[in-house]
Amino acid sequence: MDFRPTQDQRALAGAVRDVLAKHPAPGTPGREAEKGPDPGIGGVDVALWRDLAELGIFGVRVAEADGGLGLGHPESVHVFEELGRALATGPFTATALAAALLPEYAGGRHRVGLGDLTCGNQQTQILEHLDALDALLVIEIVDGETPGVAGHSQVLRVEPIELRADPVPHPVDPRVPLHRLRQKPLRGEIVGDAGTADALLREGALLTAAYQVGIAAVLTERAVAYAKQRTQFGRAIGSFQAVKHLCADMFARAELARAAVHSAAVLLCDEAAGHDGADLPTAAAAVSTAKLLADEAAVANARSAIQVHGGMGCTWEMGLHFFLKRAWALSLAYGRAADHADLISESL
Amino acid sequence: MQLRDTPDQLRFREDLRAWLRTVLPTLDPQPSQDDWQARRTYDSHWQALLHQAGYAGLNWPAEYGGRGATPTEHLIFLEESELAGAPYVGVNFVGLLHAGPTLIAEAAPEQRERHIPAILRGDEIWCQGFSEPDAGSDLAALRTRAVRDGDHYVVDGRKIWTSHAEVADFCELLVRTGPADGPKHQGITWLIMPMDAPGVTLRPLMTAGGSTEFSEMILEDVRIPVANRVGAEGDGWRIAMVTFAFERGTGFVAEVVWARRRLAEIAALARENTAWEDSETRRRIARLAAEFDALWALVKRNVSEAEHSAAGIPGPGSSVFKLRFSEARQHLDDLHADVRGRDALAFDDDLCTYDGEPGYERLRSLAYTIAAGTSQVQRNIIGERILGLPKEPSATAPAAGAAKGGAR
Ligand SMILES: Cc1cc2nc3c(=O)[nH]c(=O)nc-3n(C[C@H](O)[C@H](O)[C@H](O)COP(=O)(O)OP(=O)(O)OC[C@H]3O[C@@H](n4cnc5c(N)ncnc54)[C@H](O)[C@@H]3O)c2cc1C
Repeated sequence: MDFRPTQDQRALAGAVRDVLAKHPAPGTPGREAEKGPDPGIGGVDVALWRDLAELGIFGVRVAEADGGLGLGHPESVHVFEELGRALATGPFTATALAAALLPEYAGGRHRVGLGDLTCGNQQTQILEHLDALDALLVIEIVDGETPGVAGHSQVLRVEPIELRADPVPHPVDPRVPLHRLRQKPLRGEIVGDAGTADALLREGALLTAAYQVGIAAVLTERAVAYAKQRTQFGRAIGSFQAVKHLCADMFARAELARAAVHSAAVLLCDEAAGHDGADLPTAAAAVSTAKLLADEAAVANARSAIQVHGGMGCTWEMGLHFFLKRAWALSLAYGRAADHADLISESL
Repeated sequence: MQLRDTPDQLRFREDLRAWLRTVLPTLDPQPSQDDWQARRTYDSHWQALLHQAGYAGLNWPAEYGGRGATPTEHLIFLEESELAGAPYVGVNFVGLLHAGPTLIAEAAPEQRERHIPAILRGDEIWCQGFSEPDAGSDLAALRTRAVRDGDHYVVDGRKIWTSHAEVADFCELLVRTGPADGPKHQGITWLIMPMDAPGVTLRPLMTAGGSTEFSEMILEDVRIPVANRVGAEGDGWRIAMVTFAFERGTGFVAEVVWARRRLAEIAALARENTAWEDSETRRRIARLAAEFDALWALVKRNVSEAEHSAAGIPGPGSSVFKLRFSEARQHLDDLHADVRGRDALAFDDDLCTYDGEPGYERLRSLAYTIAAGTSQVQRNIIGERILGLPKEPSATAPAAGAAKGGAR
């Protein structure tokens, strides 16, 4: 056992962080004064997308022979934690998932979205970044009788321009444009069976959890920095225990969630290798654990960061609301808390 | 970044499993919770067996009779012992988990030779005399005085919450050797006190669970040889910080494994008695499983870092673990009670208080967020020592720069 991130993993994260620093998103340091949303087509910053594609972040898990980096889940979660820290916006998760399935997407030349029609109310199915997409993967139930039962779902590849969908006029997160799908059934090419669908959802939950850890961690740093610098009653507010303890809890949440994400990444990689030695949880339960804790950490830390910043925290300019809105949205993606809790309870 | 055993670790794990399989069936049944002499005998016997098999002081340097095992091997030991249902350190807690390691790090060669092998064999039981009635979280406010008289210190004062004092042979004792009105963190000294010294009186205290596991300790003109001082006079606060690092670093780790197993039992019980049909209960169980699995991953992260750090003293990251584990542990016992329903109103008839009895565990876990530094104090430590937030001004704060360290 050596559970520390390797030098290479840290170097990859560092390279991603450097690229992201050149394209600061609204609400992150460097772009605080941004008044309104400024998304590119479909809400994607095209220059950022291109630079990240050049680093190979979409093909992290794709074999080198197929144009990827030939690495594993532990590397992917390092990349996605950085995306979360910078609040990078776009169909990053779905495109990385698509690349693992269809290596033609490894280079990031195409943007791929994902619609999961197996959960929630299909009438109100919402798609993100639709105008920016070159392809859409849809996970759907084939014969519709028992939703969620393995053997009944499949993965379709759909042409976005062929879809009938209405733009949502006022998305809560102004940087993620939404469309409401009003078409059923969908026509497309079948690219995966139920097993593929499960694997996509599981990996999507892991990458989303990593992104949420990035949000939770960067907000801890911002709250701590503000608590050191802001004075009231003649003292730095961080010397007041009520504020200090908010920060301590933020740190504990982010650390615990990161440990869970890293553990799930390792276990997912090792799943095929079989049991040896330590008594470890199953990869499926570990991913659900990671998603549960990371969602909680991101949402709670966004609220705490706003609280530590006082009135400033509530303003558009300070930008903390962007993190909270994203954390809320991601908590509903790739399984909500109740779904993951149910999944874990099945393993008990 | 990986979690699997190396071939060496796997061999270590398998040897240990095989040994546990042969030795555990030879043990007598656990004595009753409040028969302290019997518990001392039982725990010492287990320690002696570990010693014979080469598992005592696993992570202690070989030159002090330990095995010089890596932090990861130590973790494997804790994991496998708990999974096999082996006895816990019990009354050897202080000696093995913090007094011994502190002696290795700070004591003089004669002191180490005198005590370390005896602790390893299970021949010597230690207790911790740090807390006082008026010095708990603010430990540095301690007032027990030690006055030099030739080659002895003469000690007067009161200690409280001293766990296992009734069966201990020695006590790690913090005393004030400096002036009462001097800077409080200076003038503290760390002494080895023989518990049979004249002038030591114990007054047993009872916990909310009905256990007499700790005492008040009254010290009247107790003469302790100067040769029993660890480190320099007045350097005791720094040494106490070393003791705490060990206490928090490894003290509760094995209990995560216990908690995770207990949770599986609670799930099984819930399935039997229909509590499982309530989705809220089911999800609470799952949420706690997630918490303990994540804590176990955090332990592995901390251990991997310790394995590759030069210091060998656990870092402040253990405060995150202590904070979240102690709170999760209390939720676990509450959940157990909810699943048991009105059965939780009665202790098990025959045994009343014993390790594992759910009502007793629920009451025992009240102390988890208090002992070894309260949750509030852990949050201060995270805020100040990890995140670098400014300290709170203290009522007795001397001029800037004089006070160092903080609450326990
Ligand atoms: C089961 C058990 C076994 C123990 N065994 C031993 C032992 O063997 N040897 C030994 O020396 N001690 C032992 N202790 C003592 C233990 O270390 C103390 O109880 C602990 O440090 C708290 O001190 P206190 O009880 O005086 O509480 P106090 O310090 O009086 O705390 C009371 C409340 O005030 C809060 N508080 C205090 N200071 C602050 C602050 N600065 N900021 C925020 N909140 C604060 C605390 O969090 C707590 O909620 C044991 C305790 C228990 C419960």
